[in-house]
Amino acid sequence: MAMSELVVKRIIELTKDPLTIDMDVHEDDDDALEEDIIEVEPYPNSVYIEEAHNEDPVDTEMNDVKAPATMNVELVQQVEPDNKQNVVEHDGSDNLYHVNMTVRQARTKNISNVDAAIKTELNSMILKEVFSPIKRTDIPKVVKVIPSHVIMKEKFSPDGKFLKLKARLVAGGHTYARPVKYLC
Amino acid sequence: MQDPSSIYVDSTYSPTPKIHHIFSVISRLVGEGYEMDTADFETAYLNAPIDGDIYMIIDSDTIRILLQLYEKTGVNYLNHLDEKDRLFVKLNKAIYGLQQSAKLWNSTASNALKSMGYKQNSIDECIFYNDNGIIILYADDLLLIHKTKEINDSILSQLSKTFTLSKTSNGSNIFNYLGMNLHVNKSMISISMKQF
Repeated sequence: MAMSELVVKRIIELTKDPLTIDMDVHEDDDDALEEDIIEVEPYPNSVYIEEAHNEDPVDTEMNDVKAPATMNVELVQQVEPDNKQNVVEHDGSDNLYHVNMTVRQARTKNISNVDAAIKTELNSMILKEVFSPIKRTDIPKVVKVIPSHVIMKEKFSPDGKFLKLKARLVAGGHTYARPVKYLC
Repeated sequence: MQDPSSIYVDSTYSPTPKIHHIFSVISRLVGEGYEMDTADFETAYLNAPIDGDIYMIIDSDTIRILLQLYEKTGVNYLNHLDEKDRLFVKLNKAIYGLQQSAKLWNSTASNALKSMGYKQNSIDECIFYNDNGIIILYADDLLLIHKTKEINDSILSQLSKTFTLSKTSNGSNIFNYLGMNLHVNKSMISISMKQF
């Protein structure tokens, strides 16, 4: 219960949308709350990830909200680089956690094969014809052009050895409107 | 509130199977002597075609590396740079980071399975079944449980015609699925997460 309350609070903080402020939050109605979170789902990444790490272990055991906890791991791969300060950093106690970073951060860390990693990613994108170049003048003026970023990630084997550096080209999908669906 | 100039996505919801559905399917069918196999779609989202026009701008650092790839790919992006050295692209596939990517990939994968003669379970949309067995699809992770090993292999080879698949288990009786190690013995199936 504590966790779902926290998440709902953060969502309300994050959205200045009048719809969410009008939302009735029944404290007793745990099931309804969980459903709501899944519906609002795209509210992303950094929020959930921070909470997953700051949460007391006792708290997570108390409530059986296992689903968000596993979702976090999935979401780590898709972290949008909109707030670069907010990149998740582990405390360094073990190497097993895969940290996302920007290209600049990877370069300052003196990892040698940054360019090679980006090359393999872009190569696979071109092979699959993910995007085709277009002239600025051919894009209708009303349409929004979304940004893109390259995210780097160090991969470690289960016993903590550095395996490889992985690059991923992601689109800034957060910049366009998302459907507003609240079930309250 | 809605900005008319922006892109509007109708739906972004993508289902995942419930973990107790996975466990019950495994315990029931493997207990009856069915054969299990696991596989993984590589760069899954990039297989899903996109609906609608989405335009993206690529930053200068990435363009520099794109231009270095010219010899390999034969696509000259220099002609497409604008006067400020920016590159605009139109997206053809569901790239990572879009809101609708998960849904687009899920419908692509489930359509592919349906076209192979599988029916979608009405309660759990990620479970597909026919007379020979069951396929569970967790985002890009496949779990196949069929009567014989040959059926598993033929389905994987059929799928690998359109997608790039990588096998996550190495032919022994230990299968890796969703970070779990499933040890299949004659008398029992045990789950461990040793690598964590």
